[in-house]
Amino acid sequence: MRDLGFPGHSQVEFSVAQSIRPNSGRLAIGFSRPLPVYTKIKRAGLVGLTVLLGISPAAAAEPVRTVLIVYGESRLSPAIMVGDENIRSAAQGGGQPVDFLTEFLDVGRFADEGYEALLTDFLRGKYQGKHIDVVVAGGPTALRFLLRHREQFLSGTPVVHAAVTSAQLKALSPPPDVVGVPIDPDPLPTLELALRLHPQARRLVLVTGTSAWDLDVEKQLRQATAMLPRRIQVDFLANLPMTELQERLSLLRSDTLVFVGSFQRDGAGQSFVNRDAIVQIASASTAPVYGSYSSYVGAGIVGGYMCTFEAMGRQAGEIVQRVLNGEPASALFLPAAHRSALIFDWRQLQRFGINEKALPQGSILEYRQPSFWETYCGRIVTAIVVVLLQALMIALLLLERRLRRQTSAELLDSEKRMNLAANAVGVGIWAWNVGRDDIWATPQARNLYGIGELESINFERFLNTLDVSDREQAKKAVAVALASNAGFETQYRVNHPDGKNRWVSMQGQVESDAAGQAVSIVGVSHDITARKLAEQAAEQHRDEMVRMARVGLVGQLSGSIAHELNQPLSAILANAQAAQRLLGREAVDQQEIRDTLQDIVDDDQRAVEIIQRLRSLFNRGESQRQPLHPNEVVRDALKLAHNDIVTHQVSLEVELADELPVVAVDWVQLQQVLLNLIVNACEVMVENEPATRKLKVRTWINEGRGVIIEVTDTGKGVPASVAARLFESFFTTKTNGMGMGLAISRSIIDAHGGRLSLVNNSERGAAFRISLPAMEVPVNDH
Amino acid sequence: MTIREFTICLIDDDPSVLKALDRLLRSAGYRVEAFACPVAFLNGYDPKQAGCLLLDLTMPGMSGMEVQQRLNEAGAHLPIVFLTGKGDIPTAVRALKDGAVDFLTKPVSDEALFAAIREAFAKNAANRLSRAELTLIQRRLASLTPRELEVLKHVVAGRLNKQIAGDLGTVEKTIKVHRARVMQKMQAKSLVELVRLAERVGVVS
Repeated sequence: MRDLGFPGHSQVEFSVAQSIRPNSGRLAIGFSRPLPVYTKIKRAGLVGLTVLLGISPAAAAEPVRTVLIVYGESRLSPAIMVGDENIRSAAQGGGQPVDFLTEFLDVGRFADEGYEALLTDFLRGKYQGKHIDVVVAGGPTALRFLLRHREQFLSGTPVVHAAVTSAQLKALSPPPDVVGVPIDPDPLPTLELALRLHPQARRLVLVTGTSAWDLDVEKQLRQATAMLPRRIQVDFLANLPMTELQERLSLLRSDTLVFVGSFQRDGAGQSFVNRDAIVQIASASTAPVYGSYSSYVGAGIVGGYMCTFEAMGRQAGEIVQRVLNGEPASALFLPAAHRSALIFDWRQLQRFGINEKALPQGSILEYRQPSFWETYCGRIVTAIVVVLLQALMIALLLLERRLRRQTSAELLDSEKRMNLAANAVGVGIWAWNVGRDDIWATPQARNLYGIGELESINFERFLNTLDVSDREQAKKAVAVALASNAGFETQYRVNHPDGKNRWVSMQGQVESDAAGQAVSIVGVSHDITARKLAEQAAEQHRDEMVRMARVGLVGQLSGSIAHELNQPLSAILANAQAAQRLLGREAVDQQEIRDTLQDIVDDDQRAVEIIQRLRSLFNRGESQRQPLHPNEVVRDALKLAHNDIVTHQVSLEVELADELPVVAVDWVQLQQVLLNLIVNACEVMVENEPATRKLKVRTWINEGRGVIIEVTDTGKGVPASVAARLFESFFTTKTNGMGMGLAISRSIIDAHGGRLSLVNNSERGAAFRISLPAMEVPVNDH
Repeated sequence: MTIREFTICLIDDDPSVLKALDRLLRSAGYRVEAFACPVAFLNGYDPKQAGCLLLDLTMPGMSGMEVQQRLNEAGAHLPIVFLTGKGDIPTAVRALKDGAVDFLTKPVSDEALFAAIREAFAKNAANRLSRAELTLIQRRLASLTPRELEVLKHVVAGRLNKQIAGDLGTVEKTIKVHRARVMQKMQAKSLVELVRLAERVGVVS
């Protein structure tokens, strides 16, 4: 029995028949170590999966075809695996579902009639009632078994064979329903190729074994070598034990080529798996080894023309598919022999210095070791990119460092300039990091607050430098600024450790982050002590002036009152003395005396009234308001101003409206204001001819509520430039005026909730208008 | 002259004061004409009337000072006593310079008032007397011929008869005659008196 199709795979390890379903196979991968309990779940899962994949309807439409693949070997060797896979995928190429069954017969090792009979019985029992559409014979041993025993368990089932040589096929002479493309391992093309690749070769050593198949091959080789050029010396190393063979091979010259036919048994009778034999032969040989079986590739041969198991499997699968599609097996048109491919072992090419470019077009290179670049292309590129990026980053960092140095140098310059400027104007600069509560301050700022050069400052420390009474206000100003993210300005006293207290003005600006959260406050502080002192002094002076002006106004008022008092007193005195004289006469005129005395009483009453008014002027406290009729107030004022009006030869016109509301006013204060306005008006008109000195005093209702009192003169009026400042303190157009009268008058009217304003007269002169609110009249409910 | 021949003109804008002063002056036997305002006085008074003016300084329309000015302009020789409620020195000085007899502040006692009035009356009387004399001298002067007036002017200038004759182109004897006539017409007893009279009427500048 010969094992031709799958050299080197004749050992059998187990003989359990196996049914390989593609789906279950795939599932088994998913559950690599299925537990027994799992089996049922797996089945259920399989059904489910089948449904899901949409296979079930197709299965229902046409029956699942069954293909039985039979191998003569005992197990799934690498060659069988490649072939089997290609048979299956090609057989299913039509799209219909195919159920594959596989049998490993192991008839290579158990080659006797008894075993074959048992095996046949077993298979008959196993496949009884089972419809098999096609049987595939994977190799010559399987084909021979099937040809002998097929009728006993698979009667009439067509057979497709694979990996069977033309010679074997001829010997078996199969019936027409056994079809397939035979392989034809002709060594001649490989020998010619080898000589072409090694032009310097002068000797060819052919190695063969001693098994029947080895001898068949040897016969083929001898025929082939006859076709080689004469210059090539051809030697056969046959019938040698492996060790001797190796020794001989190790002594070969460099102009020698080796070709291995088949080596299943050596001269000493030891059996070899072909591939293992090749490994030993090729490793011993100093010359390049060629062969024409694809299983040799990788075991040490350089290469050669050979049929691949992949191609053989695909070929067989395609035939199976055609048979399943209904083509009668016997009527198939098939090529006479299998096409072979030219395959090389890349490592051997390297070893013997054979240029890849010298190989014929379409050559297949196996075991090609990817070059360093091919292997590590990704990593190399990555490494280069990383290095480049690093270099770039370093460059950027260097650049940044340079820029930073430049910037810091500029900063230093800028800081110097800033310090110079800040020093020049005596300003201290500081920045408070709110989050860290850390205050940076220039030396000037530290100096200002009396904080040491190296002392660290926080907000508390800053606050403690302030005068106790100013701390709360400073704190508040900062808090408000922080809350509103705004700039602020505040002033406070600093208790300087040198004992001198200073006034300091602080201006700051809050800086906030993108979220609007205040991050820091930067600002400036400067000493405003001198200014503050000057301001205080000015304030004091001003207060004094105001007080004096008030006294002056009261004096003016009381002077007027005193003058007014003179009149009744004069009359009283004159009357009294007249009475004395009348009484001294002999004939006393009683009536005359009575009239005189009555006049004295009247004038005295008048004097009393004036004195009461005068007393009230001084006795009344600050701003005592009482309900008064506006017209009465005006009349009182005119009485008081009488002397001034007369002295200045001013003609007076009075227009007092009826039914004015009562106003709540301080009599004295209002008299002061009116008197001031009237006296001013009189003085202004001195420049006029006496005939054009006209003073007009009017009252009227102010648009429903309140009263207006207007004092109009015919003076030269108030120019716009003066009008703007007229009510300011210390502003005067008079040569001996103090400039307080109108300022105080306005403040008095303001305090009454009214308004004192200037309206330029339409014709000539000025009009001062006092508006006063009407008194709130309490509403009686009862 | 007795006080009965004098009239006191009283001006005050304060009715009660006016009435009281009027009463006081009358009680003392004066003749009084009271005016409530200066305008009424200026329109109603008799310039030939002997007396004085008791004038309030501060009055509406026209002040006491202005009244004084008007009277001076009119050539009236009515002495003025000012009465004021609020006397200030500059005003008083000006009033006195302009011929006021006195400047009294209210309230005024009757003694001070009457003293001032008496002085005013005396001044008025003196005024009136000197004015009567002047009229007499002017009348005598007017009786001189132009030639005599010429001679008078030369005589009072202190020139000798011979010089005068030379100036006027005549002889000394003729001048002597003229001179005697001048002395006679002017009722001058001596050269000194002639010069005084000539001075009064403004012949001697």
